[in-house]
Amino acid sequence: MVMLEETRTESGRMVLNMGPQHPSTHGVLRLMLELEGENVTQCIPDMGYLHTGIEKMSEARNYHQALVLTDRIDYLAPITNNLSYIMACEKLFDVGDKVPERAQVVRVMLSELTRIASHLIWLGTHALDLGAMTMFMYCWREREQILDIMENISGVRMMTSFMRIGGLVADVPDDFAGLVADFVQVMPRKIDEYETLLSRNPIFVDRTRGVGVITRDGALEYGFTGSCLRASGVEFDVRVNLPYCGYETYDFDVAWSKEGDVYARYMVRMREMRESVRIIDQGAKRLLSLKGAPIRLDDPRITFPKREKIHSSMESLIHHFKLVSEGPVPLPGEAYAAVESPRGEQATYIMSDGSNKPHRVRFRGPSFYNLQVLQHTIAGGLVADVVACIGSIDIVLGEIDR
Amino acid sequence: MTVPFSRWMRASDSPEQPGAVRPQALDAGGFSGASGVALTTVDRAVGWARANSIWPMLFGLACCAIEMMAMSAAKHDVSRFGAEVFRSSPRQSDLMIVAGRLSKKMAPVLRRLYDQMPEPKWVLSMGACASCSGVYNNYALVQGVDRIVPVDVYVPGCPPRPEAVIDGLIKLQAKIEYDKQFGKQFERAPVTVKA
Amino acid sequence: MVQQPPSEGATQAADETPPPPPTDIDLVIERFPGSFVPSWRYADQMPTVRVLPEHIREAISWLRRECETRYDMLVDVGGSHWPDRDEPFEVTYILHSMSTNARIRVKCAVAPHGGELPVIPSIALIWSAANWPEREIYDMFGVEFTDHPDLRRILTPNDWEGHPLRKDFPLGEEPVEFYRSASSGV
Repeated sequence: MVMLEETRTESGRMVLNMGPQHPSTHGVLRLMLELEGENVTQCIPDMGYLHTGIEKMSEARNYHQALVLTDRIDYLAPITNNLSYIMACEKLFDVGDKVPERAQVVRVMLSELTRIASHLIWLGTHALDLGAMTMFMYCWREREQILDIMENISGVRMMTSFMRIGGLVADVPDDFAGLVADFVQVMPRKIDEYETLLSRNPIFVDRTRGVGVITRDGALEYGFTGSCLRASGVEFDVRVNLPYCGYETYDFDVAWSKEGDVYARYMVRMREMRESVRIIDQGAKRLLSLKGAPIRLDDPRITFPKREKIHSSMESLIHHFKLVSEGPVPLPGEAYAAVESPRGEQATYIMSDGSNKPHRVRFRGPSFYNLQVLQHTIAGGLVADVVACIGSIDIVLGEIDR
Repeated sequence: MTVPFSRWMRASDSPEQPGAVRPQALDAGGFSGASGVALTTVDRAVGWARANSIWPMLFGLACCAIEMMAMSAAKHDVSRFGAEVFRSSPRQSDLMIVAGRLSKKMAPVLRRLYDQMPEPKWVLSMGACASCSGVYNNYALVQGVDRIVPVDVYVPGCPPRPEAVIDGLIKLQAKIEYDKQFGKQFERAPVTVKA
Repeated sequence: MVQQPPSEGATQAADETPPPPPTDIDLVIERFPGSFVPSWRYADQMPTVRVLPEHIREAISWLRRECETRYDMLVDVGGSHWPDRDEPFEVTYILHSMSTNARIRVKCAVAPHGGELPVIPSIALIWSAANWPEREIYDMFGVEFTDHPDLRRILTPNDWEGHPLRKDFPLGEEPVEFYRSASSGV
């Protein structure tokens, strides 16, 4: 930690320490700002205040156990973390293309639900930073509806750990379809409601339009992904460009914009929520036609035997015990799997040495790359724009520090 | 003489009877009916006031911070319990909700924030990571915030539901209300910070 | 499953059909001496090439600006530690091409000399996206990147000792009551 003892530099500029405890840094980010009056002349971000050692921890757990840790990397979108980890494992076990379709549909639906939930948190806190208190309450109201769905399927509101290698932990309950239908019906109107509050609100527009502009070249130079990249004029979406879980069969548009400012990122995310609702709707229709289909791969190397078999056959009991205590063992090799998380390309890179524990697990957090550009966008701007810039990049410190 | 709440209600609802037993001493916060007099101790009155106006610090570390925000937002609405005034500055707050895992890099900052809070102050350890580092028993995390600051209430869960945090908050309110407000309570033992 | 060099398949089919155009992997191997495709299972089917550390900067720069596919996005830079190998520290770069959606993985491995940290040229000056990931690798694995603009620890505190993701760094678990009683047979 670089401690800034003096509050003024030699040139008479003021040094302001923002964070790690600051309501607008969206976590424990620390920014050291050098100010000349109202203008920021320099910004040095400092991270690591949430370094959890998840990567080291995953190396000490077997493939099933490490799944629980992945929920807590990007804690606004636990499902997409699970999914990228599980997809990397499936590639490692060479079962990536054998996952049952019902499981794939549920994965897509849950990913999109979690995307909306994450965008709602972003919208609520970002608007709150810019002075719109009502948005916070409205967004949380709809988010509770999504969390109710999550609780309905898994019993947990946030950290569901619902995915398993080769499918899902359990089938979705019968009332899942009804809850989703309610949500799909309600959500578009609610997004309209948000837009009436913000999109033409003069205070919001003045504080966001033309602020924190990131050009197309700058976005590619700094490894941007996700909504930030799309707001800078690059039409890149992992769901479209490198489709997974059957995303290529869904009908949806990729929201993008050319301006690259805070307002463009806001508009892109708002449109993304609408597209997500469309995908959920299509998924719900598919789920009806796949009623009773298997939700997990039947592969003795990975998946547990059926409960009835464990009770009746000795071999199944031993098999179950081996899978639980030792875990599945892949061949040596490595696999990289990427998904489109609400913040961008969230990827897991697993290297295996042929033992029951991963040799190395790397989590590529999109926020880690997206945050790099922050120091350059806010340098030269006003202090008041700093919170707008941080909010619009939509960082999650758990993913940056891991 | 303390009168049960139900009896007091009946007494005040019924018309005046000569010689009827009127409540003489009531909990602070209760009203003494027609006489307009409440007798209590300063300790209880201060405790009642403190318990019902907790100002938590807006201080989130990780996942639990999201549930802490959910607690203060529309559905769960912690303002029903008089603790919705989240302050961003430690100097204005009296409750620190440690919401999330505490890394070793963050630990000195947390202690500094705690020291900046004015007395009386309380700490609520929210979630498994704050209480005992949860699933992360490793090099990077402090194994429980009680090694850094004294904790009054532990709320289990990963992350705890907002209802669970509200329950912890009510338990803390009871603790604040019925504790001794002056004197020895705040002479806490010095906390040793392990590296 | 060992990845076969594409040139073998080309010689077998040379009689009937013209050889397929060289892939970017072939071009990298041709351009930068010492590069090769490691014999290792890449379960995600991403083309992989390993180049010598002294060529890494030119190789990445060539793939980004001169190569026909134009890998214009640096997706990820990650490190790994394989203590049993001759060159235990490995840095992996994953590049993406916006125009063709192709991905390529470039690897680079080094060994420490004596008691010093292993050294790899930094690509942060030619590609700013690599700045923080390289700092992270320096922090977590103790790989030094030469010519890096700002090589400091990024995740652990500045006074931290050791590099946590090295295999010889302990996980740092503290004994827990439950385990203790289990080991003592209670």
